[in-house]
Amino acid sequence: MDITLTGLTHRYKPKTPFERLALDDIHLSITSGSFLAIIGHTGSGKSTLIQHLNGLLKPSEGTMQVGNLTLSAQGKKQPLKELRRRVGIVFQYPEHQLFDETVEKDVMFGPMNFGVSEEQARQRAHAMIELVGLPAEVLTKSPFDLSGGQMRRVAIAGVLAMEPEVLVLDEPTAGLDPKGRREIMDLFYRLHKEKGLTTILVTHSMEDAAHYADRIVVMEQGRVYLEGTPSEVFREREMLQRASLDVPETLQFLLEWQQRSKQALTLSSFTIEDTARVIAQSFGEKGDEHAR
Amino acid sequence: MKELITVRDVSFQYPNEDKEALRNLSLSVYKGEWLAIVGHNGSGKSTLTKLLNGLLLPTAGEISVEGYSTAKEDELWDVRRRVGIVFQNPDNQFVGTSVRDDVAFGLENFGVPRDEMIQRIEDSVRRVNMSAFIDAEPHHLSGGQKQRVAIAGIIAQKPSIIILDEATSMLDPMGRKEVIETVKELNEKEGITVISITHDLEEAAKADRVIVMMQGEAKSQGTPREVFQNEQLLLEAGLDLPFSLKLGLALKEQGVPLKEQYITQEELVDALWTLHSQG
Ligand SMILES: Nc1ncnc2c1ncn2[C@@H]1O[C@H](COP(=O)(O)OP(=O)(O)OP(=O)(O)O)[C@@H](O)[C@H]1O
Ligand SMILES: Nc1ncnc2c1ncn2[C@@H]1O[C@H](COP(=O)(O)OP(=O)(O)OP(=O)(O)O)[C@@H](O)[C@H]1O
Ligand SMILES: [Mg+2]
Ligand SMILES: [Mg+2]
Repeated sequence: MDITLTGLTHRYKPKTPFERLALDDIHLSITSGSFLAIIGHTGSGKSTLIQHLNGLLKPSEGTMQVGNLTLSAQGKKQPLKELRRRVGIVFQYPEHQLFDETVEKDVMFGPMNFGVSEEQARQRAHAMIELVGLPAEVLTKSPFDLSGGQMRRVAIAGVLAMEPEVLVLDEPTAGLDPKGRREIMDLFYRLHKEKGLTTILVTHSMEDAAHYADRIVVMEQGRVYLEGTPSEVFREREMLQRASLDVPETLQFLLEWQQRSKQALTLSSFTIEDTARVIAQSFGEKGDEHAR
Repeated sequence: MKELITVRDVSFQYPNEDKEALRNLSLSVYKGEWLAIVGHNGSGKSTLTKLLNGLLLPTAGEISVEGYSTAKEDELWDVRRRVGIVFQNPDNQFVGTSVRDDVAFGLENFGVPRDEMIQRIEDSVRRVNMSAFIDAEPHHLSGGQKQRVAIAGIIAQKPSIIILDEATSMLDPMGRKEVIETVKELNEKEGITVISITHDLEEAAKADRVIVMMQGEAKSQGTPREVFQNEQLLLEAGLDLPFSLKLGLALKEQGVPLKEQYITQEELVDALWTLHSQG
C-alpha cells in the first residue's frame, strides 16, 4: 500500500507555553511492498511520525495518504477505523498497548474488533504466541505478570494477529535477548516478503537498518535529514555523526582497519562474513600466504 | 575486595505461579566493581533486581546489602538508600509532573536539604544532557529522553550501588555510549558500584565481571574473557557472541591465523596489525 506524506507537520501542545514542533514539513513517499527504516537520535521525531500512520496523532498541517485513505489537518471525518485495520503498530513501550486480563484475550482483541470470529481469533492468538517464541503457558497469564522481553513478544503477537497490510515497528527489538532479536527480525522480514507487506521500522540498530531495509530515512530535529538506500546513507559517515549516529559496526571496524593498514577497501554488504572476507583479502594483497 | 551485596541460596516464586523465577541463587557484588548481568528473556534478571532492594522478598534464602538484611523491616530503609534502581520501563518510575519535580521527589524522600537538592537536580539532569527539558512532563518525552531522565533521578540520589535494568535500550548508539560513560565516571571517580543488566554484549564485554542467568539460575560467572569463551553456553542461554569475537571467528574461517579470542574491537585491530606487520 503506497504511503505519501505531504508537508506533514506536528506540534505538541499547540498555543501553550509548552508548544513543541516535533515534525516540520515532512515530505516522504513509501512504495507499496517496500521496507523502510527510520533512524535518528533521541527526540528527532520518529515516534511522532509513525503515530500518524494509523491516526493516533493528527497532523497539525499537511496530509498523509495511506492507499486511498487520507488523514489531514482540516479533515472532519477521518477514516480511523479503516486506517487501523490496515496499519498495525508495535509501540516503543509494549506496556502502552497491552491491557487485557490475559495474554490470550489481549491478542484476540484486535482481530475480533475487526470482525474475526472468536474461534478464529483464538486460533490466531495461539499460533502467534508460538511464532514469537513464547510457551503456551503464558496464554492464561496476565500480560503484566511477564518479563519485559516477554511483554514485548506479546505486543508483537497482538499486532501480527490483526494481519495488517502495513507493519509499523517502533524499536521492536529493544528488550529482547540477542537470540530473540535475530529471530523476531527474521520473522518480520519473512512476513514482509511472503505477504507483500509494507514495513516501516524505527530502529537504533544501524546493523538492522543496513540488513533489512530497502531505503533508510534519517530524521533530525523533526525533519528528513538524509534519505537513500543503505549504501547511499552509510557512505555519509560525517553527516551521520553530526546527527549523533554512525555507520554499522562492521563498516566502523573496516574503516578502522583501513586507517591502520593504509589500504583502500570496499564493503559490498554490511555482514560480518563480508567484512572478514575483505579484511582477509587485504592480507592477500600483501602477498601473504595466510589468505586463501 | 569488600563484599557489598550477598545473595545466599535465594529462591523466589511469584504468587500463583507453579515455577520458581529464581532457583537457589548465590552471588556476591563487590565494592566499586562494574558487574554485567546477561541472560534470556524471563531468566530472572529483573526479579533479582527487585529482590536486591527489598521490593520483593525471597521465598527461601537471604539477601544482605552492606550488612543490612532485606527481610528485616527496620533495615529496609537502609537497604533502599544504598541501592538505586533504574527500572526497565521508566514510565513506572515517574511520579513528578516535571522533570525537575520528578528528580526532586526522590531526594525529598531521603531528606536532602533544599539548597543541596537544587544543586543535585541541576547537576544530574545536566549529566544526562536533559537540561533543556527540565520543565517538561516526563510522560510526554520521547522514549530515549525518558530513559535519560530516569537515570538522572537515580544519579541525584547518590546511592552506593546503581542498578541499570536495560536502562539504555532506547538510546541511539552515541547516546548510549555517552550515558554509559557518565555512569562509568561515577563508578571510577566516586567508587559507586554498578550492576548493569543488559542485552548489549559489547557493553557487557567491557564490565569487570559478568554473570549469565538462565532459567532462574546463575549459569556462569567470571571476567568477560572467561565467560565469553563458552560459546555453547551463551547460545543455550539465548545470547550470542560479542561483535569482535564473531568477527574474529569469521576471520579465522577466511584463513587469517588469529591465535586468541579478542573481546574488544581495539584488541582485534591490534592483533590483526601485528599479524599484518609480520606477514
Ligand atoms: N506527548 C508529548 N507532548 C509534548 N512533547 C512531546 C510529546 N511526545 C514527544 N514530545 C517531544 O517531541 C519530540 C519528538 O519526540 P519523539 O517521541 O517523536 O522522538 P523519537 O525520535 O521517537 O525519540 P526516541 O528515539 O527517544 O524514541 C521530542 O523532543 C519530545 O520531547
Ligand atoms: N509479576 C509477575 N507475576 C508472575 N510472574 C512473573 C511476574 N514478573 C515476572 N514473572 C515471571 O518470572 C520470570 C522471570 O521474569 P524477569 O522479569 O525476572 O525476567 P528477566 O530476566 O528480567 O527478563 P527480560 O530480559 O525479558 O526483562 C519470567 O518467567 C516471568 O514470566
Ligand atoms: Mg521514539
Ligand atoms: Mg527484565
